[in-house]
Amino acid sequence: MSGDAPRKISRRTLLKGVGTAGAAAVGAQTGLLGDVAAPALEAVEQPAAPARDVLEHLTAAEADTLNAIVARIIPTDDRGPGANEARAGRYIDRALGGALADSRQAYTAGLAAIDGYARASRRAPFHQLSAADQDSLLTEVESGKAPGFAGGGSAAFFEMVRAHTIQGTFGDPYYGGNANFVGWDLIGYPGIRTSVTPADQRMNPPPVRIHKSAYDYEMFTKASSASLRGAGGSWRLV
Amino acid sequence: MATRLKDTDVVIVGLGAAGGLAVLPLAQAGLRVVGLEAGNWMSKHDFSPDELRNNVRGWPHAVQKANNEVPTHRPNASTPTGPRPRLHPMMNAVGGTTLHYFARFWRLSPWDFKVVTETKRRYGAGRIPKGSTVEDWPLGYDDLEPYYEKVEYELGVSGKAGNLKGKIDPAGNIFEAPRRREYPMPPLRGTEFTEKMAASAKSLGWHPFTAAAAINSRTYQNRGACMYHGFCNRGGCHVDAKASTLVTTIPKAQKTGRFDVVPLAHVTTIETDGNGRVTGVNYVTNGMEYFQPAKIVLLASYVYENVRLMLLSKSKAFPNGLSNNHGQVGRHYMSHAQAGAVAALFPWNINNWYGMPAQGIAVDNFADDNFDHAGMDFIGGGNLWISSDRRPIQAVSGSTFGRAPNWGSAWKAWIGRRSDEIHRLPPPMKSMPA
Repeated sequence: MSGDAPRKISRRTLLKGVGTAGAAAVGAQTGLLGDVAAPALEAVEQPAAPARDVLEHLTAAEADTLNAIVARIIPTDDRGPGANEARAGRYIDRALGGALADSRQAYTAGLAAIDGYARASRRAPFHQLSAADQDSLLTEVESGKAPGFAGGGSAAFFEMVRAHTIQGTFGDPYYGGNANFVGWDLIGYPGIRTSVTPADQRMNPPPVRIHKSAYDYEMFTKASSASLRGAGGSWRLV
Repeated sequence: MATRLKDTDVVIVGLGAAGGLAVLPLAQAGLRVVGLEAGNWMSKHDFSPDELRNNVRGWPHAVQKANNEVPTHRPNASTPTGPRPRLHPMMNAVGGTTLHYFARFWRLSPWDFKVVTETKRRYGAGRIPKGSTVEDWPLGYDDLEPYYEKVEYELGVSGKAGNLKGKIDPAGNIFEAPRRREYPMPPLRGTEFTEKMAASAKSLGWHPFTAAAAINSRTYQNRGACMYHGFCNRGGCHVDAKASTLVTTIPKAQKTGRFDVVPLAHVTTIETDGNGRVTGVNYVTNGMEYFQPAKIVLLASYVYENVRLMLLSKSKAFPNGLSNNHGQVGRHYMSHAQAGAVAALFPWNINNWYGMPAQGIAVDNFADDNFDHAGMDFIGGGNLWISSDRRPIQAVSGSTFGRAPNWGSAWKAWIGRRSDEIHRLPPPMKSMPA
């Protein structure tokens, strides 16, 4: 499937996936953590979830926090899979090296702030809190009341993560999210067609669902925004 | 030092809607034309049905010039200048914004050309909006009518005339000005939803019609018919059914042998001689500077790039920028404004996942001066256009009408049930220069 298209994995990427050492290092270097306590070492002792996707940009600790957040934004529940099964976290991790690179620092600071606030107010890393505690904390984050956030405050961070979770759940699987089309199935999107008949536009019966990425159609070039981002620099007049 | 190129009759800056169209009659008239385009060539293979790339990220690879030059933006003079809006609405490519425009294809109405005269006549001078520099045009609809027809036939427009030489046909727009000729193609098809909406509009006493689109409803000039696949909104056409200048006038002009395209060309200044006549343009491509001499320079990028070039092109004859000795360049801007979207929640699935913004039903009862503004505090108006057009990210990103939170299980239940029950209508508005 296109969402699992082969990707180059650098040594640096692999190292980042190994543990949380990178999180502390990033925090210390950038000084973005503000008055939030640096991530405690307990996080290192938590075993990583099995069969986790190799991380490209986030540290393991950041990914733990992020995956827990996206799983509350679109939860797995009796209605079926959510952002976790859609691999919205994987989408964000990959995009942070390309289209969402401008958000990398905001993630570093914001995820650390959320985890720090979880430890300070609820005595555990965010991803280990109960769903109810996670929700109550995220409600504070959403309303801008959570401490430790620079810039637009915690509300802006929440809105950003929510938007990216939506992208990673309902965007084309080519970008690493919407795995097994769980996002499109959730809302009844009948799928990508290159030709739509009059019957496909009737209200009843609804069109047959198709599970295809845009790039499963051979005719389309797979130019990614990430690879072309750098080319833009040539436009600058020196 | 810029390399001086061979002389040409006409150099065009920007090969989009205006420049990409102008090349054809110029080349057909026997003139040698050079087209300088900031973007690159694209083809139907580049136009993947990809909402993330097209609608969310805004074609980052195809808007390189605008994205990297980052024009700043402020809504009015008393607001601090900030970064440009995140999504640049134009395209830098051969064909320009016609590659991914909606292709809704209106003519202006006679009223548009005579706003001041008509407003004073009907409502009095006090109704001209304060602060607007609106003026009547020095030409009218009748002067342009033959050229509208030429463009509609050259590009290929689907529609139904509502006023053919004065004969009103309620299947078309009864408010439109007379046209001498029917559209080159019949209208695009409707959907069950747009047909329901048309019937509802009619029951309100309005005059709905299938509005015109520069999209093939059938094969036209060797380009195929529309596939209604749902990614026309900010997306290019994978079957060349949408009439961009890339697939219509530009290749036709190239066949004359008198039209050359220079892609990835970044124009820096327009040169002027001692008498104040333009002599050509300087541009940069691939890190090299060139001077393209020309008898005529046609500025055909969007208005703010045109303005910037003119203001940057200072000379002895034009010390404040080309044609700016009266300080008027860059003033009287007319935007392409849309009102905030009206959203409707229907009690059933409407299956709007496919189609495009141009597949729909329009109502012109509230446009221009088609209704009495006597009790209003504005002039002009806008058309309503209901279409079939929705993609997944868009579907879940909108309002929950106060009936659900916007995250968590309750929200998930809401989008699971309601995503196909919502339609949004962003009404275009009449713009006045200011």
